[in-house]
Amino acid sequence: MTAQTMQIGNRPCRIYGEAHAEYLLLQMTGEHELQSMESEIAAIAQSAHHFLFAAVPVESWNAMHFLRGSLLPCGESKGLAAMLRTPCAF
Amino acid sequence: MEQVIPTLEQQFDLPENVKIILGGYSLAGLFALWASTQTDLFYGIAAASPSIWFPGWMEFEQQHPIQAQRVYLSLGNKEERTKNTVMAAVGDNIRTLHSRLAERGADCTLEWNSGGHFKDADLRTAKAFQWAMEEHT
Repeated sequence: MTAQTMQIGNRPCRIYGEAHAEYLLLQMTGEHELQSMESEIAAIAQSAHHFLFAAVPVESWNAMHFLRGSLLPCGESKGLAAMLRTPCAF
Repeated sequence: MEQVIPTLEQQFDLPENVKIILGGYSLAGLFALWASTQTDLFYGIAAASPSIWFPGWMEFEQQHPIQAQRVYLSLGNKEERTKNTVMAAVGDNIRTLHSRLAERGADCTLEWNSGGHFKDADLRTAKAFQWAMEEHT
């Protein structure tokens, strides 16, 4: 399955799949995830369903308003932002 | 999403009743779950190793329930074994979330994958999307 890139707003989305699809699959992605996107799509494509997949890039998860606005009081976001940049914390 | 979905529907001539599944790994998995608390637009959520250790998430979801009726959750079986006490809550949180969804009558599953957080993210995410597309009896 080949990818095409489509600019939607200010986001260069990577699109796989076909028109008239039964399913629209959406995934927010960071830069590192785009490197393994081909293998992910190949695995999804093993299903019998017709789908259109769009990878929507995120510049920085730390900037995602939902983390700050919905889940955290403003003052708590700094420490967590630092934690999110530390993979070994997992 | 407000811009992405209509653009794709138009450009790819998607049917009116197209089933929209939002998914992702780690923070993108948490984002997918959160997005489903904001709208009933999503047919399914495919959350692989979602970062639901995030402080405040479980209380937030209790007050703003996930609206999708089909929800896939997974976690690596070593993910909760961390010295970081905040992130160590991920195991209990995902078990609780799965129970909540089941009690509400959602079609949901919780799959335990082998390994930690950074193993096979691509294949784990693919499994999540595949499950969300499958017919379940």
